[in-house]
Amino acid sequence: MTAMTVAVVGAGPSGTRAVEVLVRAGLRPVWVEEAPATGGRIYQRPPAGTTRSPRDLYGTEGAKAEAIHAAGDRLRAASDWRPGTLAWNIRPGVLDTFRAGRHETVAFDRAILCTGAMERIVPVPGWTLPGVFTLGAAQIALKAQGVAIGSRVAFIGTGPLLWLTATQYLKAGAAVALVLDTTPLRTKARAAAGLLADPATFAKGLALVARLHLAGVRVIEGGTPVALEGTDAVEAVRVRDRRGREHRIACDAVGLGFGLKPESQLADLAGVPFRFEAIERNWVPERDRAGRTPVAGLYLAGDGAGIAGADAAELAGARAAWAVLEDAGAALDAAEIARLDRALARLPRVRAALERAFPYPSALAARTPDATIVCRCEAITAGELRAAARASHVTGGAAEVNRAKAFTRVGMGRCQGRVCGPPAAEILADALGCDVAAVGRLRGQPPVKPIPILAEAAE
Amino acid sequence: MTAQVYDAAVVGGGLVGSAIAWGLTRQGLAVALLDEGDVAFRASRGNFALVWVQGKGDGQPAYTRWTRFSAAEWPRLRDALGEATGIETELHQPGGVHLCFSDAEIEERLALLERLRQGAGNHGYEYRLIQGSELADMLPGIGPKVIGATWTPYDGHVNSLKLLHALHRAFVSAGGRYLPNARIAAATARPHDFRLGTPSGEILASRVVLAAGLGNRALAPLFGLAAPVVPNKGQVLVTERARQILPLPTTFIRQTGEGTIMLGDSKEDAGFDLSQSPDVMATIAARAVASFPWLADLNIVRAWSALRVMSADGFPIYEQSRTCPGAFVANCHSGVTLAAAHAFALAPMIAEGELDPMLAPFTAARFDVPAAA
Repeated sequence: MTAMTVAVVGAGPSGTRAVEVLVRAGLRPVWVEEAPATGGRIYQRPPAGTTRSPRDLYGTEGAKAEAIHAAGDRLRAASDWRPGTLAWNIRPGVLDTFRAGRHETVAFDRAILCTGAMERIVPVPGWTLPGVFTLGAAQIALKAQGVAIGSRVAFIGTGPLLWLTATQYLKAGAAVALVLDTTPLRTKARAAAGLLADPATFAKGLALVARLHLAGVRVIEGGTPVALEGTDAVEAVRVRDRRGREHRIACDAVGLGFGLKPESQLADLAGVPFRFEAIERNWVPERDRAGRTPVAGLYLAGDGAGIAGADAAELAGARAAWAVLEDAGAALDAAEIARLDRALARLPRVRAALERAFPYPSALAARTPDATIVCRCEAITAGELRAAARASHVTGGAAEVNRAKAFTRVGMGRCQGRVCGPPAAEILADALGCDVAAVGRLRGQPPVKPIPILAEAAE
Repeated sequence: MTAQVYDAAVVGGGLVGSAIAWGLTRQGLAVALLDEGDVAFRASRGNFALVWVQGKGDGQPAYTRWTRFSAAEWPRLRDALGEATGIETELHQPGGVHLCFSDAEIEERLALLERLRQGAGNHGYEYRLIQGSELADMLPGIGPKVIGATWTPYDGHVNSLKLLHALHRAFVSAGGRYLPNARIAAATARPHDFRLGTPSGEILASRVVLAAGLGNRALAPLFGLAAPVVPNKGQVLVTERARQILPLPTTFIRQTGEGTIMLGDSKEDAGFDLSQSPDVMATIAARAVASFPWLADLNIVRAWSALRVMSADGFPIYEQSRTCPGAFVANCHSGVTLAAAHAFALAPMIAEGELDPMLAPFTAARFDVPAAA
């Protein structure tokens, strides 16, 4: 068993806890991380020399961030730690990676993919203007670089990250011009019963909202973004409130985001089947409660396996590592596994309530105006996607996103559909009058992210 | 479910089947095109999109002629598809080059092209070796390791995704019936009387054309035919967009209309090759950077592999069933290049009920192993 090589991809909360369990069992896993340090996106570390405390950087999550960082620091030496390394492809038993200008293959017996999440956008007219960032990017600018995206920022979208980021900006001294949540208050209120299963999180959420109100920030719940306006950069946002009244609010930056989606490309390339998770409105890779996938030797944990948040990711990472040990016939800590299983079993209810509280505004995405660009890499508009949907009616083909990709080039550019995939699917499904699950998902192709053609390759 | 009756049923909605099906509708036939699910990785969506003549047909002059004919007919195909559908297939036929890195390679290449010229007889076969400053002028940024290139005037490239889309559209607007998810579950074959069981009902037709690529292998025997083809994995890498810089395609590198640069391990002229190295991508990248060092500054954004449909000698298979006349098989690995020949020449032959003797060298009988004495 000691000869077994386990690869862990990702050093966020799930990857860190997975490595911790493996190291404690006497293994030396290969630990691959795209960022230079452990912590993941949620606990992304500030640059060296920063003076802001964890409490300032991570708010109520400061203690958790410190714990994950401490574990990461301890585990680097006990593992084959490979920071700054992009795992851009996976084949049976092999990861293809790119690190410091070199391609390297990493052979493994078993792999745990802890690839995290990224944001979903709605292509609001003007979203491609300079000055428009995703909420996560706005947050990382603050956490990792200590800068704000603007001096007067409008936050538009839905989900906990909307409120969290706006509050963090407020706290950092930025002017918050607007917080617009596309979800009406009553939808959130209806979901509150479910959220009460996790009173601490619920209380934290209420505190965020209260703080923004107290600071006199303009807050619109149940509103609709109409357009982000500006000539060379964003200068104002035009929005409608719940009653349909239109407002134009000046700003010099926008944070835009509508919930999260799993970064599941490696699981896709490995051949893990996917299913549509209706509440989350995401395609998620199949795995059992312990993280085992139908692909032998491949395990998933954290948000990359379905959005569940950082606390759940820590549990899932540890649990997947135990599944690896169990499948390899190693000694197990039955009590610890039972504790993890119990904790994981409580999560779906809270998660479902959160998703119901902040649903992806699919109707807004589906109504993206014809002239608005959906796929910015290839400059494909919503109108072109609708035309492709009509064309596939002509050929009688069951319309489907990969077919739309072949017809229009949507998702063929640098992002490979990671950004434009969800809204493109909503637009197609709406144009075809079918459920979004019926149009499928863009299948992954390597590389997961762009990689250079190497100069060394010329030798 | 009542059976649907057609003059012809074409099995396979890729480039080969779609071109034939469209060609048959142009002959006035009522045609059903039976496609499997729209699988993104089918060969027709994974190819390198060359319209390529150079180097093809060594040992089989009939293949050189067939390929030359199709390349020459391609402008007519582009015009007809554009007229029928409004889709621009982006044909560019400025000629094509094959890059050589050593004197031995040049010698070998020139010998091949000379054999092809002789095989072409009085059809002629123009080719030229280009070197030095002429090569540098022709291909900006060519690397010093490239010591020469062979050029033929017949070659070019297209947007093959648009070609497939246009063929489907043209077929449907000409009255053809496109049936997706119509995998053949059962088939009965009698001369000029075919019944195909599909999930969308039974199809009756007096002609059936098997154009299902690798799927032909299993289907052909049901109709008294043979399709001994095997998969041959091809890999393609695509870079991010760059300004238009490559004026003409090479066997392994071409720039698309969008500006992306496609790098492949094209086996267009290599015949049968089953080698599959995990380092294929690195090999492709290395050759590309050796050819054009400036490529090293670009990122790869996408890569895919697709399965070529290869016969043992690399040439197509076209044949009518002897036991069940009316059933035809069509297999090739150059669905883009041969699209014009399939639509404008092969389809009329099938409509007539007889393949022209020019296609006689392409029967599957050539693969039969003579019984041991």
